[in-house]
Amino acid sequence: MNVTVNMTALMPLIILFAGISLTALMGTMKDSVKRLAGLVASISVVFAFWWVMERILPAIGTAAMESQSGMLTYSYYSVFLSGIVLITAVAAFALSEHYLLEEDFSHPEFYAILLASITGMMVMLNTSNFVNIFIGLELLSIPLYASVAYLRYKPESVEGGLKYFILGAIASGFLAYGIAMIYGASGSLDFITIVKTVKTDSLFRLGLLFILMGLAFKAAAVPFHMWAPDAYEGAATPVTAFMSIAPKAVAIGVLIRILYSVFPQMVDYWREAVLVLSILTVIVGNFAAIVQQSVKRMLAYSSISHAGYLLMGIVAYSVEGVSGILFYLAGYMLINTGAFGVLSLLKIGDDDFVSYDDIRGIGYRYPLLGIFMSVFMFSLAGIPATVGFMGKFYVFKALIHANYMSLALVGIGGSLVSVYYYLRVVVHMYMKENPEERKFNLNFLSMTVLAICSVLVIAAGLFPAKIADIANVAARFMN
Amino acid sequence: MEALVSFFSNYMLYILMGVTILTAVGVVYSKNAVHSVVALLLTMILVAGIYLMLDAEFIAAVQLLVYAGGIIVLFVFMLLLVALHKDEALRLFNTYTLISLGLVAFLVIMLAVVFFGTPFGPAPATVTNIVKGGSTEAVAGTLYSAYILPFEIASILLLVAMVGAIVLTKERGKS
Repeated sequence: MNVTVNMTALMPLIILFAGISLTALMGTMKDSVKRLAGLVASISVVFAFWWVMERILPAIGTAAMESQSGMLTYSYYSVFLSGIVLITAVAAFALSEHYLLEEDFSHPEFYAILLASITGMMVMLNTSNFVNIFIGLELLSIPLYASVAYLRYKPESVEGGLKYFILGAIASGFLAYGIAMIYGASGSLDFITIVKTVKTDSLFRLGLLFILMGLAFKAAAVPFHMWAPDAYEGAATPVTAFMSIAPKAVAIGVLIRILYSVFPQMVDYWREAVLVLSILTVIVGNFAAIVQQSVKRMLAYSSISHAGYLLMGIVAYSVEGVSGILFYLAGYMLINTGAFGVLSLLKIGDDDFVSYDDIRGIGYRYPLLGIFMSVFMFSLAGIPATVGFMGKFYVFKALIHANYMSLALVGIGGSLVSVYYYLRVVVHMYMKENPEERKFNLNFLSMTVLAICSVLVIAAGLFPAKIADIANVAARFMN
Repeated sequence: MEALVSFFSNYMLYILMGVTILTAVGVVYSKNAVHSVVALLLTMILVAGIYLMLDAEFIAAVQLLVYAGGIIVLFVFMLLLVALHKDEALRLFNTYTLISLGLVAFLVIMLAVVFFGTPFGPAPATVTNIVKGGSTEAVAGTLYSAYILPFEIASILLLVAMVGAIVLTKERGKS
């Protein structure tokens, strides 16, 4: 059997792997070298990003760029999502730099495992073969378990990591089981062959259900969300920022690709399952977020509810819905990086000050931080003139066009509820007195990331056309 | 004699499966941890036997090497290191016996309903074709040509799992 290897397509993975090896090796070197690990990791991600955008993107037309008979497949759709993952990664690295120094627990291997997780995401997104989906998911998850438990001297961190590990392992099992059933029914792991198979066998339905469960776990959709709040709370805040965006984007993106382009004949079957999942996710996520006492945990539940809005977009089953989801994810990346970025700065030594009580009066004492956080909170709540509003607008519009008026109403109701707990943060920052004065170290690099995010949140909210156009093209060319 | 041969060729698989279940139950129910490990070892070897009966000699060999050879040794090491004694008062049964029995019964019934209600079609031709010429050769041929990329990514995965394990043992304040 001949295999044609397209080096251009393989290059992003090679670059990322070079980054992994370098950062892992730096752990054995002297301290002055170790300090550069974050820089090296960021450079390798930026280089991979540049390669994808400059070398791979021009080579994609209406047909995807392929290597090794579909093992690697770059389409506009997958490149868009890869871009989101890589940008999130750079932002998370920039935020970690300060956080880990403050924690006094900075090791180059931290960057190596996060880079590995990013490699897994790239593998999972840019493929049209189920084997790569599975192995990419493993490469995505296993380093993430370790990075959640990274602060191993903190009980919450270990607890979160262990929960994530055990439940995540079960989810991987579900996915593998589902893939095995699809293979048993169709005799192939390749998307293109599976699309052509006539799907009368019941094994297809069972397999699709298992795949849906496995990916819903990673996207933290209710009722598969149990791990999420603990893992998000226990992890170092920059890792939480990364975890709340990238794996979710990948899980939702891969789910859309599998459902839309591999199982379009079974739309009536999976539509109902996703519908139920999305309604549950929006309701549980929003109502559980209300009662939280910690802003970090509240944001964890809020990210669950956002997974619900994204799942709603899947139900629409239209190009409009997908482009809405892609726009939503791009906006969500900016907002969540910012919101968790602000929290990552509220740190003195080992202690995070991220409960509602701790952020009282922050808005006066640190005006810039207060403004940033308010922008992100308004945007998460979906207040107009921010990117969060536009994202929800596109998704709900697609739902209404697809005659899912009641589902759109559930979504709108959910975001109305969410206004309460997002604005509660702003109220605490500006309208409450804090008896304790704390001196936070506002790191320049982190503040730059936050400034960029908040400017883009407003800019993309006022002028969404450009991103919406790109998302539209990406949604159109999925294969 | 002929009857015996035909009996074994027809029912050996089921006998193996039954004994496997027995040893697997033994893993859970023996009070001595060493007995558990020995039962686990037997289970692994018997599972390899099942693979052999199903003409998957490569998986059978891997099963013997990796599980029976490697993982069981790790288990024994761990047992020796943590020194579990058999007379230690281990609480083997929790208080949810009735509830869990009910749930298990429910699960078994549901699975049976799904299993017997599903009209499984015949296996596609491609699956049986792979086995021609010995499964080891077929696995190697496919693994190192069509599936070379996932194979390499699996190697990254193994490397990263090691790095991750090292990260979790890093000492504090000595960066």
